[in-house]
Amino acid sequence: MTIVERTRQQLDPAGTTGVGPVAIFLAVGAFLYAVFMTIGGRAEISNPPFAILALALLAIAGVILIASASPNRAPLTAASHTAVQVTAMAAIVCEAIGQAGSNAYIRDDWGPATLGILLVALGPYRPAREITAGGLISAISIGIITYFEVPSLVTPGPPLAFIVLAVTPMLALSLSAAMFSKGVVASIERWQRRAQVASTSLVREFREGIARSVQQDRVTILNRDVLPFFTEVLARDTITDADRERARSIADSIRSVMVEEVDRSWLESLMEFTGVESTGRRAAAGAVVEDPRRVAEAMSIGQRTAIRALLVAFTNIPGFTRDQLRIVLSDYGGRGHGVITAHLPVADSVLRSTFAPFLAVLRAVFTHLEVDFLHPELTLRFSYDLD
Amino acid sequence: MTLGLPSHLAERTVSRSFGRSLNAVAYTCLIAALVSVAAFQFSRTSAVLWPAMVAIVPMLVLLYLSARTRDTLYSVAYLVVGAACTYWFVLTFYSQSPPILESDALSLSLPKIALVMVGGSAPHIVPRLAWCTAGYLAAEISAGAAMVVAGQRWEFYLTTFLAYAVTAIIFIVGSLSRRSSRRTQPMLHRAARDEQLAAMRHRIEVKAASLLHDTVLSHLAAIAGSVGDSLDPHLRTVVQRDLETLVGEEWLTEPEPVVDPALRRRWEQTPLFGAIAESRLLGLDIECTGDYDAISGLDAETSVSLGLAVKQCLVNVLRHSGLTRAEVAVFGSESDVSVMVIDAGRGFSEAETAPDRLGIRHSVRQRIEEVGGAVQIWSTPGRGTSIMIRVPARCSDRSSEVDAS
Repeated sequence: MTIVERTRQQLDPAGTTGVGPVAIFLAVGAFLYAVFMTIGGRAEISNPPFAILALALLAIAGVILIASASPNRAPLTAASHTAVQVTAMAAIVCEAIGQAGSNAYIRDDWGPATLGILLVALGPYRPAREITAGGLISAISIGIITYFEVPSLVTPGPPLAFIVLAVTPMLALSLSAAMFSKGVVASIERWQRRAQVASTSLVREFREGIARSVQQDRVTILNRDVLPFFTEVLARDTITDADRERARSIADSIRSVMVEEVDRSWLESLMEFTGVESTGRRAAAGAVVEDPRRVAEAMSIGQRTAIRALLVAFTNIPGFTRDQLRIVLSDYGGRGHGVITAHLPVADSVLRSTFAPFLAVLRAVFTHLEVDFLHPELTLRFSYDLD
Repeated sequence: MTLGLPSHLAERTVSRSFGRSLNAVAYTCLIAALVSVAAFQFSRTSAVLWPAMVAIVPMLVLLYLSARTRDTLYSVAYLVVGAACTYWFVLTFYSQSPPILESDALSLSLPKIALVMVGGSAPHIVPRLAWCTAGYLAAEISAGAAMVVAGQRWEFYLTTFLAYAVTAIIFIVGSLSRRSSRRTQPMLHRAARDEQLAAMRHRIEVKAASLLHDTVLSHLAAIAGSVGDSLDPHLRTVVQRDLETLVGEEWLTEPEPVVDPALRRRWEQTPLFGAIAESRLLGLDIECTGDYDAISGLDAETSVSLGLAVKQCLVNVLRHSGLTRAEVAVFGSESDVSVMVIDAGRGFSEAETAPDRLGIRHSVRQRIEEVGGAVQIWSTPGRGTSIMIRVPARCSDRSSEVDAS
């Protein structure tokens, strides 16, 4: 499993799936603003190819942002952030070259504000420190670019005032994105600490009841064969060959039940005890789960939880039965590999909207997840560490 | 765990973080306004611009208080005092001779934008929008009044309106987009709980299987392997005792910690001593060496598991080694306690034992792993067997982890 970064997307993957539209809105809005400002200030353009290149670069930065913010490509990495920021900075440089010697007004330069807007869109996806650092580096670069533009500006005023005016929108927006990231991450971590304490005490509370129920199951098995047999032998105080034979056969049957129970993985238990059709439980679990190398046990609690939530969500689909599900686990190359195949009687759009949060969580806990939906079959491939 | 926030907390949390990000914008704008005024003051020494710098200070103070306390009173004060300060700020520039107007070098919108970014105290989307709108109106009215008082024509500046509009739209889109995860979160949290309970149930089942193996299965094996007609009196006693326990008592619940520490310290009271004594009764000659005190320091669950595991090892010596002699050595350190069971008998290969044999796998290895310990087996066919069982001492990581959580 990869190290979880302190970002909203990685600490709350399900809750972040809905943020995608915000990134699209901001990226498109930033581009439209740039186009509008370029047309309005076209008199200041001295190198039209660079002005157009600047717009193209901003569009590329926006596309990178929208693509990498998609829940299907989670998590958004530092490399994506760098790509967005470097491309948008390149757009700022091209915009300055496009107006070299003829930039009359700072306030109709769209570069810094659009970079700031893209950084705001990155707030839910990247750590506060990284956004702050990116914002500061860009602020210094924008300050230097503006300093060289001062001679061509038509409005009288101190150079520092122009620099402040050029840098402020980008700096304000990037710091605001960083504060958002920091605030959400801190809240999630605070909540997780509290939830940990609560769930530990919950498990303690349930322990006795579960122990009693397990014991009751065992006593039921014992009552059937073992107790009558022992009672009889103790009462007689003698052992016949028939007793020896019976002792052997009872021992064999108990041993096989116990071996099966102890060896049953959490995944098989889940298939047996979830709300799915309950006839012929054991056989059905065997038919659904194929795990000859017992690698299900190597999954972490987080990974198990994500898979459990997904499988339970499948069973909530009307008309879905366990026969439509198949889980194959194997190990090669020192890693566990899993394939979940499900026939889901739902439309593509429903699948995407309903299962996106679950897939986001799976993406966060497994290093590698591939999702294919070829109606009606959904196939998930994932891998995980075995230690 | 990457479960994220439950939906009832998510809205408040995200909204609060929005508040902080608004504060960041406000701070940046106010500081930029200060630097901007200072730049103008230095470049035009004849102008009197310092009052505009003074106007920013109360806004910074109230912004700090409102962000820190999230008190509505401070937010209201920030709006009211901020509107007055904005009026003062704009008026200072406009009343210079000649007036310094909003231009490409000067943004009179900076304190106005800082006013729009009010609302650090609002927990939900609608009141937050209302605060921003109030901030926007206060900013426009005060700046407009300053222009009129200074005898200038009122002008509409786009910057403040854009800042207001973008903020409002981010609120609305962000709030709408959160709806999709509302149905998912409860399912995820339920799954996390079920997973914990399932893991616990499995642990208890393993424990039950090990206990049954050591009692019922072992007695059945003794009966099946017995010779002669009469029931061995020792076997009779043990069967009777175990039957009473299995049916009558709650044998799966946690063993209660022994109350009297003096009693606990006594080696004879430990399950390990019991296991050795019982194995001696079965006819095994056992030599014990080592640090018995280390055993009495173990917690109740570990101690019971260790006793049962060693018992199983000794039974295996008796059944499979071909000898009736074994050695049990105890070593204690600060972090763990090790018990070694050694025989010089036939030996075996763990990998080659039948898959349905629960002995070493469950009664020893799994049971010890359940209490956070480890088992190592050295055995070569023909050259004896050494089994090293290591369990954490009482103040180990495992118990401190439980305490910490």
